[in-house]
This record gives sequence, structure tokens and C-alpha cells, in this order.
Amino acid sequence: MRRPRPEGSPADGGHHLVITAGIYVSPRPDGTIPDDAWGLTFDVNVIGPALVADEARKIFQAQGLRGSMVVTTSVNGMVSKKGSLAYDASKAAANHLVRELAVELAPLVRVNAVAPATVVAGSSMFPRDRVIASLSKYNIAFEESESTESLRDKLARFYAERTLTKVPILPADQAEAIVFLTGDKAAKTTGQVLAVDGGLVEAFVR
Amino acid sequence: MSTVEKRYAHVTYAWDAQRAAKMNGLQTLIFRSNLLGDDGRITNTGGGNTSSKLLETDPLTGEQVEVLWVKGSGGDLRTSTAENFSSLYMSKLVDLQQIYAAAPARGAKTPIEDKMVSYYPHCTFNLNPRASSIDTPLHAFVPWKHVDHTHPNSVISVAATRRSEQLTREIYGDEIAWTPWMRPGFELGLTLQRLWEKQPQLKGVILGQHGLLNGAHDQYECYELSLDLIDKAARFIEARDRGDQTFGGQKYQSLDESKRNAILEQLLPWLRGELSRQQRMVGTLQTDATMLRFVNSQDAPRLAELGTSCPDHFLRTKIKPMYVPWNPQSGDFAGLKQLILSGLEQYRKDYAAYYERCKHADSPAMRGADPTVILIPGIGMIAWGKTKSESRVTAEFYNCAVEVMRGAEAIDEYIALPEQEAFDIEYWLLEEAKLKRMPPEKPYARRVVMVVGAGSGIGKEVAHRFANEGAHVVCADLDPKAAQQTADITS
Repeated sequence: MRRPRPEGSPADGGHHLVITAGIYVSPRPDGTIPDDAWGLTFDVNVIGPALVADEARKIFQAQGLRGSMVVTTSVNGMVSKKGSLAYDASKAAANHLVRELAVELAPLVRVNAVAPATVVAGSSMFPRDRVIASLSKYNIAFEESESTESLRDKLARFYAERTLTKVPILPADQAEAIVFLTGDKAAKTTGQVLAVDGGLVEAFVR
Repeated sequence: MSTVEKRYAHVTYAWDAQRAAKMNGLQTLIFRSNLLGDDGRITNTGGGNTSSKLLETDPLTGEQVEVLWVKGSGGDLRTSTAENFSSLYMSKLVDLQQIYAAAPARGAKTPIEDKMVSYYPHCTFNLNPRASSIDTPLHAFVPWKHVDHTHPNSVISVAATRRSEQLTREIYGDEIAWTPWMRPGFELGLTLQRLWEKQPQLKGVILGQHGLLNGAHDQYECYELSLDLIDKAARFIEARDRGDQTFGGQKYQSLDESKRNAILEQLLPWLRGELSRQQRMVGTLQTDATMLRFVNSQDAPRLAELGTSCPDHFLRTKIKPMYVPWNPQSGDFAGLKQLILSGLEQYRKDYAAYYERCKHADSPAMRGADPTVILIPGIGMIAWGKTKSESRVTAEFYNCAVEVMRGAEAIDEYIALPEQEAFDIEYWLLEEAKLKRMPPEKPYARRVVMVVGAGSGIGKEVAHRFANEGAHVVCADLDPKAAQQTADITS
């Protein structure tokens, strides 16, 4: 894990920072997690955003202009379940990182999170092996010969049925929330985690 | 029409006689315009205009009428298509002279002169929606069928010297006339008309502190003449180039790349903040040898203070840049920041005072008082605008300004526009109207957003959304190719 260095374009890194990068390391078939998977998961999902935020803070403070940060976390950081211990714990940590960054960077910079659930379409979070593991777990029928897109579609529709709104969630849904939280329309909102999860009762905040 | 390819030292000759032979008049005009606009030494981005007087069939009477096809308001010669050209009845344009003559007070910058612009739509041929350029009379009232008006650095160098009139005669003999600076419009059109009435053999005119206008009865001859005249001025300048005494010789040396970048890393966010108090600005940085030869020179402070010539240039660059009197060899970063802060304070005072001195009763309110071009010895130039591309155009125009000064100082003494003349362009009511007609800025205009993870999935989606909302998006990803792909897609 290295700090980002603004090489070549010192004027870049301007008014708003959005972090969507994340990693999901699939557990072993028996559900256990290799030791190094823990480190990688926390590095990418928690420490990475923390280091980037720290570098961005220097630019934000030098500029003295109001700015914002949005980090993509996950409803997995709120909902308790089994099967993805490292990922879920890292997302809970990321949620609290966002809350504390909101305190640290105030008043100049607002920091919020968007917590997706099950954005299967076009996502690097749902590589074929993870999709197959999930389909098996939920006893959803599929053929090995099916295209990844078809498998993803099956899984997305299964997930949708479990939500209040019953429609698969798309990257565009996340983008909409991120763009809102980044901009001036959310000028009085900071330290919040906005779930874009189709409506999951287990993720309702008390 | 000559089919012999000519070789020019200082402009690109690109005529294709075979292609042109298949074109009609309007197509040839567009072709000629695209070629002229394609060479930055011939004219600046968005600068200059071209025209052809062609016979068209009147849609109502079926008669042949002479129509002036002239580059309209907005757009760039390099990329112009038919849509960029206005078309006006020549007879109606000439008749407008009677309206003008009947006004009790006339001349450059009089109310009647601006009012004439409101009559151009009434002269439109065939319901062409393209708004007419202010320069329309410059094309209409000279007798040539084809006219090129350009802003070439080399010619503006000649046009921006103290002995401009004599130098014009020395370089061009009596084929090319000279007129002193006059804000473009109806009066300048009439001035050119009178010039040609007195000297019918004229091929063109140098417009003092502005640019070049020339014409011919054949499209190719007009193009060739433009190149001839521009190249001639450039060769005259080259023969008198002052070599290492350019701009009085070097006062400072450029910092090496790593030292320069270390300073810029600290400086640029802070500077952007300083210049973005009212509205956020985006900057373009230039550290090349040509710009630094100017910025590091003995004469830079004096020449920067004099200001720019050519109205197109200073609408973007403001009449003068801000030169920071920092010694790159001995100064430190804290000293640089202090000099910039005091420089900005002084610049803002100077600008407000200029506005107060020059304003008229009906002048628009003062716009921003910050510089849009900042010169730092040892480091380079930073140009500022409301978007990346606007700041690039401002940078381009200051490059032109430096080149103009280089040429002018090589052959004589550089002079800038008097400040009242500069004000009357900057705060021209027609210019204000143009600004007011622009669409409102998008929600993320002037903002810079960095997306970490832009190579795929949600990051890619969000990068495009921000771009659609007007943001400048920096795409970062573990996979640089994927980040580049996201950046390359424009929707």
C-alpha cells in the first residue's frame, strides 16, 4: 500500500473526490478466508480511501474552497449475515471512516458514503466465480454453459425479489446518488451513508 | 488559377486544386476557410473571417442576385461548415449606407454604428439562421469578390509597432494600405470602401493593432495572397530577429523540472483557491522553452505591463497579464506566494481603477478583476478560464501575444492599444449581449472531480455522469488502460 503521488499533473485533484474502487475477495468454497485476503480486503476497502483522503486533504486545505468526498461502501457494512466476513467487516469500517472523516475535514469538505447492494450488472465485484457461488448458495438453477451476463441477470433478479422495490439495481442508480452527495444540492449533508439497495429492511438505520 | 505548388517559410500551403475544381463557390469558400484556420500562424482560434460574393437564385423572384457569404458570429475557421456562414443580399447591405448616412452623429463607437448590426438580419438571404459577424461591412464594402480577414502573429507584429505605417510601406510597397486602429463595425467598412475608391490597385490593408484584410476576384488568388502577405511579414521579422537579445536577453534561468514541479505541486492548488473566490477557475500550465524565453527575459516586466494588442487576444487574456517579480534563482516558495498575493492585490486595484477611468454611463457592470494570465519567472505561464478548453484558448492567445511582441520588438518598438480603446472592446455592449445570450452553466461547471475506480462499473458510470453535468473529470484506476478508456469515451 503506497500513498498516491500527484505526478505529472500537479494541478489535478480539484474540488471533489469520489472513490468507487473496492475489492471483494471470494472466500474458499468451504467459506473460510485465507489470511492474506483479510489484509488485501482492508487495504483496498478501508486504508486506500483513508490514504487518498489524507492526500486530498492537503489540496483541499491549500485551495480553501468548499469540496466534497464520496466513498462507495456497501449495505454489507450494516446487514449481519454469514459468508463474506472480511468484506462485510471492511465495509463497516469504511462506513465509520466516512463518519470520522466528515468530522476531521469539516467545515471545508463534506464526506459521505453511498452503500450499494447487489449491483450485479457490469460490476467487477461480481466476477463469474462469485456469481456461480451465490447462485449455488441460493439453489438457483443454471448451466455452466451460460454466459456470464445471463448468470448475472439471474442473480440480479433473485436479489431484486428480496427488496422492497423489486427491481434490479444498476450502476446508474449508484451514480445518481453519488452525483447528488458530491454536489451543492447536498451542501448541508455530511457524515451520512446513503443506502441505494432497492430497500432492504435489515439495512434500515435505527 | 495557378497549379504550381509554392513553398512558404512561415505558413503552411495546403491548397488542393483537384479537390477545389469539383467544388462550387460556397464549398470553395469553406475549403479556403478551413485551410486558413488550420494554421495557427495564419490566424488564432475563433479569429478572423472570410467571405465570397456569389450569384444565387432569389427564392421569390427567381432572379440572379449577388449574395455575400461571410463567416458568421461564433465558430472557428478551421472547423467551419456551411452552417457557420451568414448569407446577405449585397444590394441590401449597400442600401444600409443610406440609413447610416442619415444619422446625425456617426462614426466608430457611436450608437448608430451598433444599431446597424440590428439591420443585418433584415438583409439575410434565404432565411439563413446564422447570426452575422460584426465584421460583415469589412467584407461587403470592399470591391473584391473574395476577402480574407486574418489575425496573423507576424502581421499583427507589424501592426503593433510605433512606425507601423512606414513599415507597412517598406514591406509591401503601395499594394497594401494601412489604417490606424478602429473598433470594427460599419465605420471601418466605409473607411475601407473609401481607401479602395482612392487606390483601386490595392490588394489589401493592414488594420492597425488588429490584423490583415486582403482580397481578390478569384478564390485561389485570395488564398495565395493571404499566404504571400503573411509570409512576407514573417520573413521581414526573421531577417531582423534579435537572437539571444530577444526581449532584451535572459534575466533568469528556468528551474529544472523536478524543482519546478515541486513548487507547482504546492503552488497550484493554493493559486487556484486564490483565483476562485468569486467563481471557480481551471488553469492551463505552460513551461515550454518559447514561453519561458519571454517570461525569463529582461523586457518581460515592461512588455507585460504594456498589455496586449489584437482585440480577440485581450478579451480572453485581459489587457495585461500578471507578472510576478520573483527571482527563481534566489527566491523561496514563501517569497513566491507573498509576491503573488501582493501582485493580485495590486492587479485588482489597477483593474478597478481602469474600469472607473474608462467606463461610460451605459457600460455593463465590472466583471472579474482577477488576471487570467500569470507569468512566473523560472517556471512559466498559467492561463485561467471557466473550463479547461477555455483556459487553453487563453493560453493560446497569450502565446500569440508573446509572438506579436517578439516580432514587433525585432523590427521596431512594440505598442499596445490605448486603454480606452481596450475598454471599449472589453465592455462593448454588443459583447455583453453575446455573453448574456450564452446558455446557463451546467451544475458541475468549473468543478474538477477525481474518480478513483473510474475504469469500470460504478466508477465508469459516475465519471460519465459528472462529465455530462459539466465537470472536468480525472479518471484514476488500478488499471490505467481502463481509466484511459473511460476518459476517451465522450457521450
